[in-house]
Amino acid sequence: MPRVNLLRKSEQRHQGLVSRRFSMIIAVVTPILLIAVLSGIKVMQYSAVQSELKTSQSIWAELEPKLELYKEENRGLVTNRKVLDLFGQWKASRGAVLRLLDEVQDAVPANIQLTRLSYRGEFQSAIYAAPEDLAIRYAFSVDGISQSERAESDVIGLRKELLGQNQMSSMFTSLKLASLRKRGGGVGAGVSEFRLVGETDEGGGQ
Amino acid sequence: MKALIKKERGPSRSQKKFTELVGIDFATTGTKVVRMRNHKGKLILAGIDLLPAIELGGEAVRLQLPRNMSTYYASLAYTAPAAVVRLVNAPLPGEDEALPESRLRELLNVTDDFRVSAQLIKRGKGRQDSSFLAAAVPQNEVRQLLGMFPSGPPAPASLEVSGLAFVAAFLNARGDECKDQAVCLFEAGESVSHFVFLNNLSIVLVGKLPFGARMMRKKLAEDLGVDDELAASILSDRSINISSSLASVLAPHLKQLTISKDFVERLQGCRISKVYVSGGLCLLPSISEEVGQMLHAEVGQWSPFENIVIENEALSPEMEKQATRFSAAIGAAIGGFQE
Repeated sequence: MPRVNLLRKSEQRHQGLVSRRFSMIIAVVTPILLIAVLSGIKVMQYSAVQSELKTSQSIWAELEPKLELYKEENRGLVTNRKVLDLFGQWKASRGAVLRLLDEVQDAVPANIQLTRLSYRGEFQSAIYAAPEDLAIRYAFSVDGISQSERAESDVIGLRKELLGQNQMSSMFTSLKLASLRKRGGGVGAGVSEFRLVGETDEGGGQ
Repeated sequence: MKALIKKERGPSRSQKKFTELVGIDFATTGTKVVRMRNHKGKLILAGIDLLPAIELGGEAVRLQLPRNMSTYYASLAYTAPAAVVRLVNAPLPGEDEALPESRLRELLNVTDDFRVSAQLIKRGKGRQDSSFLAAAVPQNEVRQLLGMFPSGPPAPASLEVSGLAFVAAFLNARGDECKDQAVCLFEAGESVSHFVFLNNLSIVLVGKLPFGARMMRKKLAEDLGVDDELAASILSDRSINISSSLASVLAPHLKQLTISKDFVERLQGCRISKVYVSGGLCLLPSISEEVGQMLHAEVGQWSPFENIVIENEALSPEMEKQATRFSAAIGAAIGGFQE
């Protein structure tokens, strides 16, 4: 639509609630102020955190020696408990020798004569860091002669008898007949020499 | 802070899209004010008021608008007895859209103390001249009008001659009806009248006639030997047969209009089907009929409030009766929205 406007551009002016310059200043200043306010808040928060940190540090400085002392004592307690455990294990691993000898004595028949008995226990490790290290490994051997018409059978019967004993079976995992031979010569007719060896498996025994 | 809120002046403000404007028509008998809104292309009349007339040529006094009529921007129109409106033809070089002011002054035959402006209507092809709708008004009157709005709201957004501003209101009201026709718009006021010929909604001729209601009252007072007030009363109630007096005033001017009509019809190869009258003079009884008889054309009435949504209680019955007087104010506001 044709329209003859006689107003020059230079005569036109902006009119609004506020001037354009003011709007522009607000647009520039507002973010700056916002950043300043947020920075101020952050600085205040930082100061508060710093103050809290100092308080915590002073409390820590007071508590730290006590904590170290507590830790030290705790470590001692742990060591003591370990030692006690070692002693307990050592005590538990000792074989009841007397009872074993009683069982041997009860199991030997009259026609068998023992010529030698060996009972030996040794620790598996020279350093005892853990209770398991104190486990004792036992070795048992018995030599003897059997004199009867059924000398060999009596020896085998002795082995079975020994294995049936409580202490013997708990201490040794096996009882092997290491040797069995007839004694030579006319004097030794019906006489057999034998050797029984009891062993504990690796880590076995009490 | 006051300094910051101070209003700015800048060169790039004319491109602003307005959503609300106050249209002000400084006419001879009164200052017509309309407050309008443009909501997604729908025009809304939010307020209307008739203020006392401002005398041109005097001191610029700040215009105090009623609070309910104030907006940030105002589109101004005014009745300038000394104004020149004309359709001028001139060669337009290259891609130029406007003529130099000196050339415009020459074409409008005005001196340097006139402000001139023109709008390209039709660019000429090849060596053909381009057509411009041009206007010139006295500089001192422009200064006085702008002096009424020195600061604060409303800020002037445009300034038009009332005799051209009303065309926007007509196109909004009856544009669709006349899009394939050739019509004549006749805006008759208190002191001057304007005519605009449209062919297919394009302006093909404009002109100003130095007559109006004032001249008719003066003639009647002379013929009947009565004072101006009584003459006005006789004009409005037609208690006496005053046809001969009216004809003697109207005839010379309407003869010029008839000549212009014949010229347009010959030039455009069309027939002016209707004459649409508006302005305060048309409120006088049977003026429209007499214009129609003299021009040998059908006369149509129109209201600038057509195709405009009127807000509740914005338009009183008294104002509605005087709708035609607000054509220029409405047209100025509509033009402001469409700029």
